[in-house]
Amino acid sequence: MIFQSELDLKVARIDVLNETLKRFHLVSAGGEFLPPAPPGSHLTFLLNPRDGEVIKNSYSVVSPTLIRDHYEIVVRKAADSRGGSKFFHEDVKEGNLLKAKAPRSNFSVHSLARKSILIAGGIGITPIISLLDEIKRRRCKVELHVICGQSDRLALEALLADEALAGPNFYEGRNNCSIGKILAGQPLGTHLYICGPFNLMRHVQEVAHELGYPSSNVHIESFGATIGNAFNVKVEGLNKEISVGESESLLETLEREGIEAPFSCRGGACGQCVVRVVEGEVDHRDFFLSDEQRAAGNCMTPCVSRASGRALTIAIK
Amino acid sequence: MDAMISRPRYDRLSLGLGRTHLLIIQGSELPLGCLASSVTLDDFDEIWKVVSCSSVLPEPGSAEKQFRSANHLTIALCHRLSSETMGLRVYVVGEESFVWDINAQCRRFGLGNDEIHVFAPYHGARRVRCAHCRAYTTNCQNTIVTCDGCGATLLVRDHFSRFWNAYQGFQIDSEEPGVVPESVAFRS
Ligand code: FES
Repeated sequence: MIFQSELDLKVARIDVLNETLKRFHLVSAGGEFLPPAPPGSHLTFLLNPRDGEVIKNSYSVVSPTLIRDHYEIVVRKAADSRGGSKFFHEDVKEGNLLKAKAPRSNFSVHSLARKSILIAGGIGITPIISLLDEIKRRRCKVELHVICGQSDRLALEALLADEALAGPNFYEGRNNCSIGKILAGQPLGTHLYICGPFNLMRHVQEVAHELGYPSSNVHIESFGATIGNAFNVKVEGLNKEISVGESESLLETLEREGIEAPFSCRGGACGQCVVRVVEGEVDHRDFFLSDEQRAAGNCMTPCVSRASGRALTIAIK
Repeated sequence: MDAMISRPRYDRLSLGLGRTHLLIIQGSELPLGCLASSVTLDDFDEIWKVVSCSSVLPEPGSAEKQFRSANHLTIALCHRLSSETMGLRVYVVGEESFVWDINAQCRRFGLGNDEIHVFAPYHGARRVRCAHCRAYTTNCQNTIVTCDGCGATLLVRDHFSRFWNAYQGFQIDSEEPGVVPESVAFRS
């Protein structure tokens, strides 16, 4: 099963962690070993909540890389869920079959890091958990900072209980955590790993930048969905104008229209989906493009970024 | 040998984003043409120079420091890097072997590619590492050199190893015994 790109998975067990968090244990439907999930990897599920509609949602694998008989994922039921997390929470039952793409990692541990600072916002803890094993194996110094709501704290602490990590720092709410204090005065060779809400990740990125962290030392994982204004898109070479709705991404619209577009994280972190912008202004919401690339305005990540105006013309590589 | 050229290429130094910018110069003056047109010496927070002179005195607290030798500077740099924090950028100007030695020290302390910038305006003479006895022979000017370690006659390949900070030299006629190509002066 190692080289298979699409996996048939069976839900072996569901643990309810709290009102909004569930952990799913997934095994191979055929009983074989599963492909290894490298540190920081995610599974992209091809969900079918209603007939005919396919939703692609990515979730981090929180079980250790060397475990090959099952994967574990933790899903938070998003208040504004467009189907993915709601489907997992309400419809998926033990014994159900799910389709997913083989695990892929865009969030690996930097081999030369001398210290790793992990910052998680709420359920953003999941990709961070999948790095911890590797960081410990490398005997790299580590600090873990978790910012979450009061109601999630117990569940997140329980998720970290197996990790035998000295003193994860918990902060209840953003206002109780000073990112500047965490990042200032860190030794040379420090790498940052961040996952959480868009504003938190942007803030950490900006503070790191101001303190002189090179962007190659700042690693971001994001599965964020975006909502915003509706707009129209022309795809160069195809005689077609498509409409992106307020609650869908440009990538989802392209897929709905049967236009093949590459992707991996679906959260603006990996850059796999970058397309060329031929005309129109972009509202960039990714963490991948550099300031120069954004200013040049000739490319965008359709998984999260949108048109600033009403129309865009793009070209898919 | 032209087919195997793999020498470092150097771009003039421009200032990256950073909290503190430290310029290290091998020599008492910065040679012309090392800095990008938008950069001046005033843009650096500190300048450290290897002046190769025994009469220099330590100048604590000054933004410009002079060192008696490359070793003298390297010891001070390692001491500094061991307690330095994120945001430092190091720029190095000098002979090729000097800039890559400093680069290696910086990397030992965790600085990455985006945090160290090197520029070697004069890289005609080469440091050569013997593939057989692993000794280094310095200041080599031609494609054929005698190894300082084992006395072998080495052909210097046009390949610079960042790991060893040297060009690789191997037994001149190892492919075809007795066949010795002409010795050619290195182009800088
Ligand atoms: S799929 Fe990763 S940035 Fe778009």
